[in-house]
Amino acid sequence: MTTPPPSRLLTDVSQECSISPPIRLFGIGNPFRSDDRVGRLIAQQLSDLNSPSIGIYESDGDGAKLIDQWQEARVVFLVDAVSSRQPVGALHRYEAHDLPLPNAIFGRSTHHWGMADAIELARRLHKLPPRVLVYGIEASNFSYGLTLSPALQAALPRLVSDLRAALTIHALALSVPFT
Amino acid sequence: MDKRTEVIQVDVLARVEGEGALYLDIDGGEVKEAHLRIFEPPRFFEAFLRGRDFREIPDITARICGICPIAYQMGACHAAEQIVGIHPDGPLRELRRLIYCGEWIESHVLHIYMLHAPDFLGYQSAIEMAEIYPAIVERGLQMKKLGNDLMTFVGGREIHPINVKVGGFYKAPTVKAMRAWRDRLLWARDAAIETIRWTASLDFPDFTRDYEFVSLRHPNEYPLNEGRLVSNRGLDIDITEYNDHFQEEHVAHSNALQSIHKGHGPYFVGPLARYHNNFDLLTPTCQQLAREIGLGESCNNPFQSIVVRSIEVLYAYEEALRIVENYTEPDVSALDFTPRAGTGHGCTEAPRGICYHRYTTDDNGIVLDAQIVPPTSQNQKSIEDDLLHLARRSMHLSTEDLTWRCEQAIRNYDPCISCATHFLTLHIENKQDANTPTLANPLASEPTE
Repeated sequence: MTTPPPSRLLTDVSQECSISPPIRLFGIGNPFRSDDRVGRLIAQQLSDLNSPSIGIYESDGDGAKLIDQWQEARVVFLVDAVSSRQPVGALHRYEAHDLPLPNAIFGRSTHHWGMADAIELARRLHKLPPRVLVYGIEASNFSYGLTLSPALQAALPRLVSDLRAALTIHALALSVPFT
Repeated sequence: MDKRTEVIQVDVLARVEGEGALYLDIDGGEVKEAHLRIFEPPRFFEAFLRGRDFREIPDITARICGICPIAYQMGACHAAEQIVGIHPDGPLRELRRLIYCGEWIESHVLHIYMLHAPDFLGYQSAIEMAEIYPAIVERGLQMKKLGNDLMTFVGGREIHPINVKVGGFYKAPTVKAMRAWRDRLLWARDAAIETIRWTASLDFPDFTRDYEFVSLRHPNEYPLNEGRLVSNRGLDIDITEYNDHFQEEHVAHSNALQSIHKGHGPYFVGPLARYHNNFDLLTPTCQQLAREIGLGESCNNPFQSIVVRSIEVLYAYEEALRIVENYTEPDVSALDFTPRAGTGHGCTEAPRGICYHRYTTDDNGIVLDAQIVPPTSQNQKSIEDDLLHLARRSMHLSTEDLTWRCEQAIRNYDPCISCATHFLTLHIENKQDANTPTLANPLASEPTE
């Protein structure tokens, strides 16, 4: 019996061709913008998930790349920091395969193709995976820095645990044959 | 005289790289002035380069822009190498051209397909456009991806590449890895030809002006990294003479410096300028297609810049193909040098036009002085003049159409406000004539100063 390959933590886009697991989680953010790095930190803490069905990746949120990276996936998790005046650490969950993301929470840039743009473009190109689950994590500090704000740091274990459970459930569901 | 008066404001001009504002003053039906207002605070790159080791310049200046970092890295490297007296040649020079091709491709294709094409097809965004033209948008995404991947291949990563250094590269790719690009580039070359035919089929406003086109000119190649500075009005200088002929000015309404050609005024840099000054150096395929679509050897209509960009994309793919097919591995990935005191100049062709650098170092290679002139700063006055002329001849348009047309005129330049300093919003104000009622406009407001 062969040992399944460990989940991969990709930071190098040149490796993107190797993406193939049916369940993929992308931790999105700028690693130098304090709370904005929370998506990446969650991805890093989930990288020990040892399942051939699950791929864990870090992303800068470039929409054109995301469309490419989630091709052929069955379930995609997108984890990103958001700002909507909710308590820091609060989790927003959206089923983006059904409805567009709310613009007020997921900001749209005039010059950058971000996650929300990628989802809408992929929807029109019929390239949206069957399930796209967006987890927005309420953050407060987006200034330059390498540390999370205390409230977000405190919420991190719970967020990682929630995402781990969700990934595991989806992996189990995929392993059950349809009858 | 047309006494139409109104106030028009668009708070965020979409589909440009960066953010800022444009203020158009129309008083009693007469267009008085047009300002491109860049109110993002200055970023002081030139100031904080002082005191740094000159070998850090390429990595620091790459951070000026996520779209065109290579332009900054190349200009910085050339200037630094001029100081220490080295000139990377052969495969190292080819690698520099290759990574620059990658940047032109990703930047131009992004602008052609995602930012500019929706203007001509009547869509607010490429997302709307994708609903009707999914195959075209998908082709654009694939073409852009190839550019990004080329930058990653040579530069280590696509945004702010890390493999570029003074003297060459930290690591040079193998011949085998280089040849593996051939098939993708062949596909892309065909896609670029389709792109040219597609952009040429769009409808363009009839708008031409007599610009001074300033670009590099190299004796043997369409310019990317090197050449003399030339113009269609007789300019022909070494890049070291840049400051003798061009001057940066501070204007009250913009935090980015504006450039003028001393004794001449505004000038135009970017694809139209390169194309005009270097048509004979394009590949035969590019020249043939340009003639086939009726563009000719020069283009004075900035709205047609989308077509010229498409031709430059084809050039970049063909040039990349030439390089990957002929590449040999360099003996060393970077030339050695010893820091010394001096002043060096670098000027390369960023996707949006010439990007000039000048650095002075002491005996230990510590930067004493730095000057960086990005292309968008140089095009600012031409953009403002286009707006002025366009608005004057477009007073028959409705408020909505005039606003749309003005936004298009700005996007013609693919302005990178991040480079010029950071920001772009469109604001047109038609001052109210005392005898004429103001047209209702929910976006109306006073300009911020």
